[in-house]
Amino acid sequence: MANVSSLQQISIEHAAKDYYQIEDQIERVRRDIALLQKGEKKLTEISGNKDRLKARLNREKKILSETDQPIDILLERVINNPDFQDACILDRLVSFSRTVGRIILGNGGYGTGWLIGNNLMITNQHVFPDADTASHAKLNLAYERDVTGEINSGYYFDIRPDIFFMTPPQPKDSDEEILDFAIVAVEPVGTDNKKLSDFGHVILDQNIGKVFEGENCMIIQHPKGDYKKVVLRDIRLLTVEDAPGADSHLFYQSDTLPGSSGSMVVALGTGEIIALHNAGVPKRDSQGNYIKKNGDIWNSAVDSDDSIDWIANQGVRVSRIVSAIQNLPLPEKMEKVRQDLLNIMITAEDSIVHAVSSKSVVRDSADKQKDKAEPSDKIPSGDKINMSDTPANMQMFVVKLNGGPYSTEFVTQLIKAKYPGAQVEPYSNFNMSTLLKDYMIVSIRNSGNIWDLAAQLEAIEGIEEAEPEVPRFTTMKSGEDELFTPSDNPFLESSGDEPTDMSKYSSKYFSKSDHNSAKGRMKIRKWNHSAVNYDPVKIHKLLKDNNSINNLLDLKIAQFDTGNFPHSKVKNGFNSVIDYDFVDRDSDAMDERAWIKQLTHFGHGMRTGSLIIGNEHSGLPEDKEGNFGLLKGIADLENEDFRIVPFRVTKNVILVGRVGEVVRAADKVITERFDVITMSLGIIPGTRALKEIVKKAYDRGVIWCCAAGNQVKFVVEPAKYPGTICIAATNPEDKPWSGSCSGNNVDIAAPGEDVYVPIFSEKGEDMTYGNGTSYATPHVASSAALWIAKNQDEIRKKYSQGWQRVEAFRYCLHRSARKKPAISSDYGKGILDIDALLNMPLPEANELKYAYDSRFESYSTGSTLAAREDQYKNIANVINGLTKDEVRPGKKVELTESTGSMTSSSRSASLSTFRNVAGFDKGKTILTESMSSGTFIESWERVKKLNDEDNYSKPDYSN
Amino acid sequence: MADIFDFHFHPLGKQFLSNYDVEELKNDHYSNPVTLPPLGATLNDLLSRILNSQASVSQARQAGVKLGIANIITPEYVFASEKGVLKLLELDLFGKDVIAPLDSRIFDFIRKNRNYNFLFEREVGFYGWASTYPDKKSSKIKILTRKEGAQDNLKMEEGRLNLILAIEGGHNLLNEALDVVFPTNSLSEKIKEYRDKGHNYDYLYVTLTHLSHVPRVSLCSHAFGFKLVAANKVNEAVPVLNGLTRKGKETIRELMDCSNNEYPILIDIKHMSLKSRFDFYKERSNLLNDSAFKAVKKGNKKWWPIIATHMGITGYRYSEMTELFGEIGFERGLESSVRIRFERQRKMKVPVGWGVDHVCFNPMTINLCDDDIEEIAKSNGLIGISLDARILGHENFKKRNNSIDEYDYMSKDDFVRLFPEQAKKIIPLNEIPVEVETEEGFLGFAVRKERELYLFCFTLLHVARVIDQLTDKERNNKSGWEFLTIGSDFDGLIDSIKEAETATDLPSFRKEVKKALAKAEKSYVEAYDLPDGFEIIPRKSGKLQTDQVIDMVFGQNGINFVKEWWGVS
Repeated sequence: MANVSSLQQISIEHAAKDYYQIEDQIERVRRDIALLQKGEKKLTEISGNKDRLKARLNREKKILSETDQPIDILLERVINNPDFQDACILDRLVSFSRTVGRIILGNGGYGTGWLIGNNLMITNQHVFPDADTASHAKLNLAYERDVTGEINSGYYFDIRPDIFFMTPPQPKDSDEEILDFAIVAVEPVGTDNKKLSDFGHVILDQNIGKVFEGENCMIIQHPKGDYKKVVLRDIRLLTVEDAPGADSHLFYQSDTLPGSSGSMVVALGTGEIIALHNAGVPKRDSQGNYIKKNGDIWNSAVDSDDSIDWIANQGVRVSRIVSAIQNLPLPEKMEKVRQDLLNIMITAEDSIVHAVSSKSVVRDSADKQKDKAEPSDKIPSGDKINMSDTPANMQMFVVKLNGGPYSTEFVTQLIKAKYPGAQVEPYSNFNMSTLLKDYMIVSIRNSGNIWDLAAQLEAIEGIEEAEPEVPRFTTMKSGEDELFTPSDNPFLESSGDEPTDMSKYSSKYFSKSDHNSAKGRMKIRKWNHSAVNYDPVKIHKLLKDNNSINNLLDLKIAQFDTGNFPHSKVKNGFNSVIDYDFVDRDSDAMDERAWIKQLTHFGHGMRTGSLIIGNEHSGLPEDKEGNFGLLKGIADLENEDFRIVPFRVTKNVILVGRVGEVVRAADKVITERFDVITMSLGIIPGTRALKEIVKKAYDRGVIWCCAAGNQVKFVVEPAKYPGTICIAATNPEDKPWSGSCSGNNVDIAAPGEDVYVPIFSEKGEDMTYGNGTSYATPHVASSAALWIAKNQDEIRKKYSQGWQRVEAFRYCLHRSARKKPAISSDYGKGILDIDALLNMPLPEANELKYAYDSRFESYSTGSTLAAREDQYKNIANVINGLTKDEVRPGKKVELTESTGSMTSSSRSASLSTFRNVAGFDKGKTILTESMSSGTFIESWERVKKLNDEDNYSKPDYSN
Repeated sequence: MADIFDFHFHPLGKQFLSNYDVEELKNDHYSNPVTLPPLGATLNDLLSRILNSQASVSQARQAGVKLGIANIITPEYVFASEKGVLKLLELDLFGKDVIAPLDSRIFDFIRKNRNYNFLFEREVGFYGWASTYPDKKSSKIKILTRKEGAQDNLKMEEGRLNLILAIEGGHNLLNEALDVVFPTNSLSEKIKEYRDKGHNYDYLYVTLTHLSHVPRVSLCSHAFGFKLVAANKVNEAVPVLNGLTRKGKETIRELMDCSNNEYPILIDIKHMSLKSRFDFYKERSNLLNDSAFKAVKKGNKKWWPIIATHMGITGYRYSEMTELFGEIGFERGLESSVRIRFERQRKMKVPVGWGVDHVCFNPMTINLCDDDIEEIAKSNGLIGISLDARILGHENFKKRNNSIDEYDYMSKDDFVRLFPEQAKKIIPLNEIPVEVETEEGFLGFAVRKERELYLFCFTLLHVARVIDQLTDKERNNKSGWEFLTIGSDFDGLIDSIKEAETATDLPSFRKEVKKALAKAEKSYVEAYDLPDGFEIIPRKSGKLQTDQVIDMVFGQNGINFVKEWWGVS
């Protein structure tokens, strides 16, 4: 590879030589410019070249389309109003700027380049001295700050000198004139599938008269690889070389720095590109030494380039570049490209008219529209839920393989052969070990029904199941009314009116008089601590005596929720270094609108998290302060931090973007040996991958605490899977919360109704009483952490398998639960009692039951496509009905819209068979297959029935 | 010939990595250099230098190393992983047909089992065997220990290579396989065991971390040191932790508290990130003030020397570092770490040839900044200067253009706490740093050998000057030169400097340093804008004491330190 800097040195030396040869002339221009700026000279009096001046004024004529005006009138316009130009020039300049990008060389150097034709760019020869250098470089367009100050890192394009590369041969001796340019082809598509044509390209004009001496110039560049910059200050053209044999360059004033190689030089009078910057001219003394700004001689060994006194800049004239393009020898295969380039440029043969009226920047007409929005699975705020087809028809499936040797490679080949253009990637694509080796994500462009395609995929050898990646639903509702609607709607989590009038309770945790004193109110606000028998001082002592405080502080707890949120109640409680946002795949798992504090309904993750790590003293006013996190309370007594790791697995609370997020989060959590997961969301319906990862977590001993769900009348997933701990909610009177889901697979109940949690309101940071099994769950997760910490050594001694830890916890939970008659067994074995839990002796290994024991349970993770499709559609139907209207079970809703395309007849037949065997009512109106399979009420019934069929029981140790 | 001391090297390291079956190594050849099979032109120069033996027992003896600290290191997962560094070396370099001089069974073990302590104790056992082969009296090496009472164990012997063992990386203390059901991730047992009076071996120091993040260990964030491979391929290479962790603080206490045990193990701050080092100084201070902590005493004063065993220097103060920063951002997939581009600025002229060449210290935070140097001096510690060309500051020759791009990684937590203002400028980065080609130099300009020689001299001069600027009391009434020694890191997979490629070159290297030092002083003074005639090398009645100080640096300083700290005689 040739040496960049030495070529650049040569350029600088040439530039210096050229400059000093016509130094007198340039000095005169400088003086004239100074006079002009003082108002003592006219702009048109500066140029020495009459032809150029005339050509320039002719352009002015064309711009103004006033062909019949005498030249002195035009002169006057130029002389007297030289500062006034049509505003449309700004558009031209912006479009020029768009074509300018920075070049990143393979050896780490930088340059500037700009697009001059279809997939062609130009820069200096000393940046790309040969094809090899070019091939190792990249062009980075749109690397700039935008109007708001945001930084764009832009798009990267490969350079293709193999398609086109043109540069004059390097000079053999130092006296030969060099045209320091190189034109090279660029890859039409760059990172993020960005099209090069989106940036347009400029059209070079060979004709003279684009500028004359004294006029202002503008330079667009990436100095030292920095963001795109323009020099807009008073930069004047000094001279244009005219001597025969030495007329390739022009000189313009420099600011203080040498321009960046390859910069675009634009004449501001005409809005035309006049030169490709190639070198700065250093000040020289009589011996030829370069002089620094402070007057000393420049020493290349110790001084940087910046200290040189750059007195001018040299650029290669565009007119000469165009000539060179016409004349340079080229390999045969590149000829066509050259011709195409010449065809779009304005050469001397073309009349001036053409030059001025043509658009100077061309964009493909198709791209003139704004860039299309990225295909996303954001659910529009309207009623329609677009489930089956993402925009751009790229349908995604989670495919489970049969497994075995080379199954991934084998199936990938089959898929790609059958669906050209399909993309296959591993389900879990971290740089680490994973439990999801048998899963892949397959993306296929398809305009048909997604379930049809799923059926096709399942027919491929090696594929066990293909699950369409469609949005699933959670048990929480988002929207302003989360806080305000009454809680008798299904699927809703609400926080009641703010603040709840706690005096409606006759609770044993606070008295009537407590409502009237500040101290009493503080007591009311942490009633949940009393309800679970939580005394931080006592627990701290217990752990200290047991030497297990460090166990607690080292414990790793993962929270699967909506992410972090900067309320002072939870400040320093979330570990923001090792969390990972699974939805956006970027670092900070902050709610998108973390900075827009007016929105009150975000922050679910913050609220649930506060019950574990909430600060006792936050930034809230005293009359609002109250409650704190169960584990923070212990850590505070040790003067230590305690953090949980948030994983944002859902963008907003109603829809988990894709279940994949939860699965991948679990994958990471398990392989990184986390101890506890707290998940205050339920998902319906679940997927195969979810079931399997839950089992894997269980086998590894991860205690996964899940909310039973709200209002659904049955426990949601994954809470209902055998391997998790399922939690229902109670209120200050120790009664089950009416909204809490229940079933025989609920393990325990904990405070969930009217728990004091942080929110954001119009007034800013605030607190309120919230309802939901979401709030019950963190209580149990905290107790799991305490239990593990306290019993760590004994667990290690007693048990040899991971799941035994989970079961031992379940055992202790069941046995220590506070039994209340109001809590039927459908709401768990009782109410969480942390004190009793921690003092419960551990069971022996043989007392524990393996939840997935196949001898006693028929537990299967797989199910037919028809079952899954039907279940999904029915659930979607139910949700859709709910979001459309506030619907309660029993109310009929006719659904008329349909989403997605019609399904195939084979799917229809399949579903029909399934419904038959499932015993669903026949004869009701079946709406279009694609979306719904009946009215809301029918769907509701079907969902319930399928759920009953697919019910798992968990081990029960209470008795 | 004056004695030579090496604060940090690996005399049996390469042998150990060349064969998983340690028994097969236990023969006469153990002390010989391991050489690569002759592969001719296919072998990359750089890699062959790294893999050839630099300080095998015979080479060290030949050089006259009187006392050396032999470090045991088990390669971490980052070396052994599918995309790990050595895997890349192997494939890149040798193709799949040729056998690399590293036994892949070791790396398989690390990948699957990952009980680092198992391999560690094996290597220690190998040293133990070597010290009694063919018998205890006539073995080539002698391992010194404080244990077992008898003074004999602390006596250096003439004609033998005297070694003290040390542990490079806290992960070596982890005695748990990866798949253990309920991991403890505890290092305490091994620390207790190794400190115990009855234990066979003794260790001078332990480095808390090495070149990667080991989640099960997590004592502190490490300093980035991997240049051979793109960080986004090997995630563990970049630091993620928040300075010194709680576990790290406890471990330090376990290593140095003498309440129950009189065999503390020192902490070597090499490989610790800048933030971790600062946290460490604070923690050390806290412990020394803690009545429950019992420190070693020197006279009636508490003594806990801070040591940095194989370092380079940045040449800057911590407060000046922000001036060096170019672009700061994070790469996709590595969002817990911040990547910083440095621009080396302070150039020191190499007084060779046309005098137009210059070198710069390596500003990466794996090297000491002036604040570190001062802390070490105040604690009456010791700094070993590395002979790794990259650590010292060797860079691509071609970049004569005065701006050299260097990059470093820090954990986000560390960066935000050290440089809160710059933290606002963190941006997502798209491009991945590209390695620059190296070139050996051509006619008219200083070749690599000389550049590195002068870099080394500049390093010594800088450390001495920084320390000498402290008050007498602060530097314990010692001259800055007394805090310097050699920590070659030979056979630690380094690209050693040309002037001292192997241990056998040490005597001639010492000579070259003596010759070059005065000229280097002049150049250094100029580069650092010190007043003309500023003296760093001590003079006695006008005469330069170069020979004396260099001999001290190459030998006596280190030997004296160990004598004082351990009672070695």
